Amino acid sequence: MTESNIIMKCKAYDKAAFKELVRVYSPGLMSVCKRYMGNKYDAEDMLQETFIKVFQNIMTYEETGSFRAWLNKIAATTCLKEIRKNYLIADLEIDEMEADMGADYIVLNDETGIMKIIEELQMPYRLVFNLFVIEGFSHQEISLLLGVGESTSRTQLSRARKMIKELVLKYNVQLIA
Amino acid sequence: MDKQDKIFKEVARNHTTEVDFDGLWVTLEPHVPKRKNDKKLLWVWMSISGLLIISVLTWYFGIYKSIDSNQGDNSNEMLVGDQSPDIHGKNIDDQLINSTKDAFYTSENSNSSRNSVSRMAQESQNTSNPDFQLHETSVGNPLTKNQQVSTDYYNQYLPNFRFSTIIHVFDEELISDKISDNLGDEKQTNEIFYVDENQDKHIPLSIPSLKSTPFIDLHSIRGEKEITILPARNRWFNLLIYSGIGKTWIKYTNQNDAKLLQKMNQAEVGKEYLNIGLSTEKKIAQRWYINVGLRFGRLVSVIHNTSSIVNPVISQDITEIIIDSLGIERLIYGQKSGYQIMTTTSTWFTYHYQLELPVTVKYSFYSNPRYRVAVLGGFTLPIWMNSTGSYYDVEGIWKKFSESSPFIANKLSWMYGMECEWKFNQNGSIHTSIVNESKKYSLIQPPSKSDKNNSILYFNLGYRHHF
Repeated sequence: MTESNIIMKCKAYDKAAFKELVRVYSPGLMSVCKRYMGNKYDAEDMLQETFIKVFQNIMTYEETGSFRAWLNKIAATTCLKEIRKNYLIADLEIDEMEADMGADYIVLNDETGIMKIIEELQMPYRLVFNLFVIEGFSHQEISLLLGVGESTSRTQLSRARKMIKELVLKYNVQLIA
Repeated sequence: MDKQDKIFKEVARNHTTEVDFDGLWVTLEPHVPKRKNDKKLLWVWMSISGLLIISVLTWYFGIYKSIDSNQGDNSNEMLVGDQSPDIHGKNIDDQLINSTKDAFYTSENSNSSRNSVSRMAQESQNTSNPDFQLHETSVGNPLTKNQQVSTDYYNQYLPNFRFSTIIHVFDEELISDKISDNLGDEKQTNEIFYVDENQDKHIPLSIPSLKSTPFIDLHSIRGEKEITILPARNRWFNLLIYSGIGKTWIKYTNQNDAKLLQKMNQAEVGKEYLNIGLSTEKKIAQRWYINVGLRFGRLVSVIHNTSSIVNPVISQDITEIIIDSLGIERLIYGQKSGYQIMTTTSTWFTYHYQLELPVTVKYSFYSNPRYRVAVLGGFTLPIWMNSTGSYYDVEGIWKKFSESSPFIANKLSWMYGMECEWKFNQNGSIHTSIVNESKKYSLIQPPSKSDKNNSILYFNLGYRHHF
């Protein structure tokens, strides 16, 4: 079943299409959730929440953009909402200025290792790193989403990059462009 | 974005994680949306359809079963016309009238029913079969058993529905004229027809050639001479006598002094409202009626007037106590002066007696031969008003006063409400209504900008008699 078929049949309340939707997109969305939540159990909860939201809102989906991007966005916002609920904003405010690490890094290649590194990042850094690097938000948008200052966002991103370098060395992950 | 970021972005976006799909689907399956709206619509549609079918069937059998049972008593009664289902609709009056008009003016448009009638009537002339002879019908039609009516008569005057129904609503004089014109003098021997005693209650059609217009009194179809409880268009001679009681709420407005206004609103409380009146009602359209009459009402309010009186007080009392060196106490008497504040609350009863002319328009949204339910709205013109009152004075003595209309209802009162009418015998019906009325009185003695607004909710019970 193609993507457009799944969407069309879901809009027609076809239960099989909903099942197919979950089957096709759950691995990718699970990865997104795990990136944000940092552990499997919270990610599973968020995955369920994400699909429930998708079920409720798929009637309003207009096939103008990428369906996968639309799903990822729902997953990200669901996780973000949960994180904001469980973590105080104060925890995200870490006034710690760090210099940018620069472009010197070891060239390694290990997909599993990269995902493990992201998940092992501490909460504020992981969040900012995901939003800035993976999702492509600007620091201004991140500051609005998380309710922190732009400078804090920049600081935390720098800190995240520094931690990533340390973890890359720790796990001997190969980064190959 | 540096190279490390690009690698992380690319890997993360394309990364997938293994999921326990079966477990996930078990959790998600109950959340799959269903077509709830369709089922709701189906139920609504089925309910409405069911109610409609039941209503139509009830009406159909309610009306025509009584006719059939009445006619069934006469074993040799001639059946003329068929029970045309097209007259069972809600516009039965119009259809019957139109059918009647067709019968009078378009005899060439004879349809199968009328042909059937004429054929049967023709046979009744040609044969001596008593089954094809016209005779007295169950509705008291005085056509006797051996009176035969010519085919021409049927062709010209009978519409395409029940013979027993149409006969009794024909006007005797009209039929006589028509028969004279069309059938000649020798046919006048057959012109013994039922005289509709209620023809003056029927709606006249605007056809100048007709002295009195045939009108189907719907309720006569039942086989008993019921007169509709609703007044006919051309009759004013129905009298409604009613009386009722209600509760009032008073509020002053338009006062410049807000404190005084607040005090007045706190002080005066609306009490009961009594009214008695009579009116007559006329039908002005299919469901519309206008009602005009006279009403006498009494409206009571209570004023709790709290006032304070300050009086100077002078008295002889101990003014000083002196204890000397030996410890002996001495009291010095002298004159003391001061003020005494007396607060009294007096209760005033005020009675507004008023004669009014209420005019209401009613819209009947439900009616049947015995019931009518209508909404109403209208205004009340004040004709005369007087206020009297009584109060307890400071000593608690009941005193009366009479004032020459310190207030006057110089503005229209508006009202709206609902009424039900139930016909319980030939000429009488019970009438109940619940009305909310807004009365406004302007204070004219002394002149002020105060308006006393009375909102009255009252319930009336009445009796309507049709003359």
